[in-house]
Amino acid sequence: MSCSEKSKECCGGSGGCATPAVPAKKRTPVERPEIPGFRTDNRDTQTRFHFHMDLCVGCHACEVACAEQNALPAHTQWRRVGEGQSGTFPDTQSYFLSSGCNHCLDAPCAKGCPVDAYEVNEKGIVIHKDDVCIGCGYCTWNCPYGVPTMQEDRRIVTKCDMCHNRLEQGRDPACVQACPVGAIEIETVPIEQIIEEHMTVGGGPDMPPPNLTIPSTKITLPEGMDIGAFTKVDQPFVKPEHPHTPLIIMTVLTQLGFGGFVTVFLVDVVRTLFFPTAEAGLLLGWLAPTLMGIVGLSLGASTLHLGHPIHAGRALKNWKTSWLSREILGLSAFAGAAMTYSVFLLATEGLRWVAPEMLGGPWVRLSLGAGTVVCGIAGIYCSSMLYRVPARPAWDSVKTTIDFFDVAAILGPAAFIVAAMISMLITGHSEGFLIGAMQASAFFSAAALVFKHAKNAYIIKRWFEGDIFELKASAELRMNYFFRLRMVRNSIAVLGFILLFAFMSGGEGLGLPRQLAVALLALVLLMGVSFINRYIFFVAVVPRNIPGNYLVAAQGAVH
Amino acid sequence: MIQKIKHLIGLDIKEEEYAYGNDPEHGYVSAQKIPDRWVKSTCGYCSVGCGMLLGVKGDRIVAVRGDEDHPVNEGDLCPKGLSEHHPLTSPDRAVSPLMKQPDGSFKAVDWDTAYGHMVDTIQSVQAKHGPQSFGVLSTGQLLTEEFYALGKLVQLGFGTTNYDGNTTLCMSSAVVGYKQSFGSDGPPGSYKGLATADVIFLIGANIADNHPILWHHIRKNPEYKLIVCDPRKTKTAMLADLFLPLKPRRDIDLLNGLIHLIIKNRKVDQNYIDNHTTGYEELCQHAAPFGLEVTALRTGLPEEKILETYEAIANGKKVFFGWTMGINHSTQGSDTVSLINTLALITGNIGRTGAAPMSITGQCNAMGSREFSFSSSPPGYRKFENETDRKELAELWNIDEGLMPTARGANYPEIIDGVLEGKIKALWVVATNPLVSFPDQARLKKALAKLEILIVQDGFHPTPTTQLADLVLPAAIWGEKDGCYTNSERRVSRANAAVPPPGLARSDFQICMDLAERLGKREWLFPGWTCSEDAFEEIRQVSKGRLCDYSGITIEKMGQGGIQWPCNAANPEGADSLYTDGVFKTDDGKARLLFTVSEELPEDVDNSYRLILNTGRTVEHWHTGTKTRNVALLNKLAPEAWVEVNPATATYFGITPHDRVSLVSRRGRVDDLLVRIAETIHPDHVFMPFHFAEKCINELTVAAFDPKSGEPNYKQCAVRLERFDR
Repeated sequence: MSCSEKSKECCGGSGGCATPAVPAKKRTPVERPEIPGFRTDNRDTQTRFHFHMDLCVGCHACEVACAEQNALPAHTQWRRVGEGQSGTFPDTQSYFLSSGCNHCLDAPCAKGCPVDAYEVNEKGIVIHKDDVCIGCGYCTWNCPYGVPTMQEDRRIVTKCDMCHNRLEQGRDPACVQACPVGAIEIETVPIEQIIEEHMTVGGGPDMPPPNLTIPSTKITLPEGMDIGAFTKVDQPFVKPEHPHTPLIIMTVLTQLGFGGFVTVFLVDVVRTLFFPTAEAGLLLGWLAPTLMGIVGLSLGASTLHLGHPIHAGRALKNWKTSWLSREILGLSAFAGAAMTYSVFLLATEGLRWVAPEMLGGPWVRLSLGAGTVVCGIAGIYCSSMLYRVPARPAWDSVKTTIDFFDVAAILGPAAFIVAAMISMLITGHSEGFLIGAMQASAFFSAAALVFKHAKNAYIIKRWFEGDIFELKASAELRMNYFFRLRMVRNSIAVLGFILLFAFMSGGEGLGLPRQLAVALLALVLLMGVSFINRYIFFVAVVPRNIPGNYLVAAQGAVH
Repeated sequence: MIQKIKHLIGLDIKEEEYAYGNDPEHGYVSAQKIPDRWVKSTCGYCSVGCGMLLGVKGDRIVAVRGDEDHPVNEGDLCPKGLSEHHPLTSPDRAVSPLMKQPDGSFKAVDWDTAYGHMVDTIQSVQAKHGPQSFGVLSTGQLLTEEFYALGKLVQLGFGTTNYDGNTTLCMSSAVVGYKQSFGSDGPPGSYKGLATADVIFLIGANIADNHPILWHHIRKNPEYKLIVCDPRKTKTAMLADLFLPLKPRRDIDLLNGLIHLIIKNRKVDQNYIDNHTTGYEELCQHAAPFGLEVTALRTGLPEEKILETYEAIANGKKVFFGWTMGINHSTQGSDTVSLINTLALITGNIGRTGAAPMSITGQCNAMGSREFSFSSSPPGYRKFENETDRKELAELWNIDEGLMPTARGANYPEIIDGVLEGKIKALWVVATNPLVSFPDQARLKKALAKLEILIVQDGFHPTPTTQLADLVLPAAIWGEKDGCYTNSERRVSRANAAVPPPGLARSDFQICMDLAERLGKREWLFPGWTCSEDAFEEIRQVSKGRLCDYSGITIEKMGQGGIQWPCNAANPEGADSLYTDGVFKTDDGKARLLFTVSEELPEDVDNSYRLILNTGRTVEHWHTGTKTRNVALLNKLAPEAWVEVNPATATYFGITPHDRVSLVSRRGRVDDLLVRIAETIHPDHVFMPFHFAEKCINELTVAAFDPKSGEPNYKQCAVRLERFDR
């Protein structure tokens, strides 16, 4: 059969290839997006890659040509060739998929970028501006195709720009020029056509669902290919993701701070309303600024995960579409409100420099406290939303939001207990109100701990039993590769729970110093549990991606 | 320090290093890839022979581009070609002559000391044990001029005929097969045939991995049927219209079966057979027993696939028969090649564009070595045994005819045997890496340990072979020297020096001149030669009137995309097919219709070794990896050897994709291998690539050779699969 005939048969439609008749086994019906996409108002047409899977022989020349064009180091690949296979010997079939950036109509890299480092030009090419990037790497989480790459030697993200400067010169991109069989083309089509095609065609085999981002790339499949029958060759290989240690610290500590402030505020409300004579001033006056210090330090530490911490300030810019910008706004607002509330408490009760009345009395203080809680909820919510990206299914659910709040619910009250013990030790007498507050806190913290682990166990079991590859793999990583770590965590959690329980059932017989030691130990254990959980959260996420290269995927894969 | 802090806090994103610029000829590109000048050349990897432009900035090649004016590749290159400049600046380059010290370390010495040591030792060995006690192993990687000079230096200067190339490890069976059928070596077709044939029959050839640019021609073909015969479902087989999963070595049975069907159904080209061949009667008798049922049984193929193949070949107007190592790497390689020739001859598929039995060669200049290396035959496709040929050469060279060797010396495996038996005491290895590439490494190492001196001349050090050497001579490589390469379709293309070699390294040509000088024979062997162009002039004269006629080729003409020999007064622009007149290089001018039957494999499976190990290449790497493993991206894409195993076999041995495995043969073992469980291989076979020195497949392979060509039977040996526990 001739190759022109081969491609003709699957090029039924006018103006570009339409659907080959393929049973839609793996394809979920794609709903027509309501808006044409993100920043599509500057044009009616889209310039795109058209990959002829029916012509590709899997030679990898495009990958090398791309690296040469852009002088990329080997660890940064803007174009990758993946592979999939189906059938049994000798009736085996395979495909190769060469992919650069898909220059999506609804580009999540651009939407999520906190510094607006992405521009969509009048051809629809999504271009990354290296000099604006702060190296936060958020786009590398947002792209379901694994396209933007953290280029380690530059500490910024870089990606395929369709060689748009070559296109301006009337030349082909390096990959197009290099392909010995003409399997990569550049074409310009109406935006409407791309949306139309994605409603009917879907993506290539083993590709993330196209409705996530509306990729512009067109893939012409070999004649009669049953894409549902194929398995990508890198399927057996999963490796833990980067732990992002500064982010583990930042998220856990801001949640601890938030939980602490909620506890402070509730205690403040209850004593103001019902126990006006209770001795809680020293406690609240010092606990709040301590929590504030923790929050402030952790927010500062989080800039360390940026490639370019010096430009961290730019990250507020894209608050209209980026959850990362919103997180920074939300947590900054939280920090601001918490600072005011803390200063109020410290000045009036911790140091007793000024009388509360001089600063407007309890109602002003409680309003500041309420404001802190509201800003905290917003900050932690934004913080959780930034992880809920479709490209990372294990993060992309309400589980993440609940996770973030339940850490607050576990650690906040536990921190309060420690602070209350210290204050009682300093004042030298057991305040009945505080003992009640501590017992309530211990109960609440323990309940949150039980809830969290029950919830996670249930959800991970569902992932494992489901048929979404990334969730299944993520569950398997937890159950197998991180089995020991999880056992350690569970032991710590059980111990922490027992200690909290000791508080609930009262522990007066121990004496204050010992009780403080127990409280402190409980807090340390619970923080340990939270750090381990957050570590697992970061590393045991399996991102969506295009089909990979077997040998590359096998390197560093875990069992 | 300040720079480092700036980098860490983000004031430095290496904007200069990653800046872009406009190359006046090639457009917008990374600024560091914009050269001062472009030098035309030819790729130094495989025998496809792609035209290239080397971008030179200062004394470095910073970019490589495909030459759009070159008919072989029309601007395209494979991933190896596109990154071919990177190995030149590798830290693994050999930059100084090195002499092994008593404590096993190497000491850098000057060339004078190195040459002195080399020549003195060889001469004393030869004086003690006779001239034949010196052996030379060459390569398919040199330039034709270098082969020519080396051949004269070894055969006439050092006076030994124990001289062969690593080409014996890859295409000597094709040479013998062609000689048997047509009276001479010389692939009769062209790549153009791939774009014009209506049937492309590939047997034992995985061109998608090994010769990817050939697909450039296939994809231009408006109407073709691609048939691929291979025991493994290779990348190429995946792209076929019809795949024939043969049992190993049953290629011969398939060919016999096809010949049977063609004769039986009178689909032969009787006119061609009558006028241009001999042996048809005997062929008919021979083919008679190979009916469809027998063929199906012996090959393991379904009858309908055999019939479909038969029909395609019988009815094809232009059938392109292509093969590579699946055929050659066999104890019956030479005869299998002749059998393919027979099939082409009886169907009249020879002498026309698109219709040819084509050996697709391996190395960039294996063809040049076949033409002029003076190893397996004297220059110009002459014969040692032929007195006229010897006389002709002696006259051309102005030497005494009595000095001309009258028979071929030891071939590559015979040289190793000679070393093992203590007959060869000194060995000079030029641009090849037997410690990765030769079968049965244990036996090879045992042999090399017996040498009085091992001299290794290579562009890279350390390699497994240079590490064993007593003397290492640093050589210039592709991009650093001038000359020409001949590709698989007889196209002679120019490779030019773009940059100087590193350190003290010298071109192989220069080393030959220097050694001749040392021997006091420079003027006698190479009268008036100063550069490779002088050698080329002599090659033109020596080849005049021969099948591989260069007399019409000039360096200027070659620069325009190369020229396919014969190029002479009759074919001033070269020729895309041989034997267009149906006259062959045999005594009677007729081709021989040869045949053979398949024998058992040199090593059979048993209960301890129940799998057959198949070998081959992957597109990212070249041979023993001295060059490509120095290209960071290629080494990232294919960083380690793997074993391909059928899922049923994996289940049987209890192996998962996360296990590491060992392969064990009767001769050795390779441990800690990545396993690739895939439906690309028969349950009774496993496959492993041969590029990886640290996971060397030749620890396992069997030292069995084609008795006619000396080519090793790499493709099959019996192995066992074990789980490897780290």
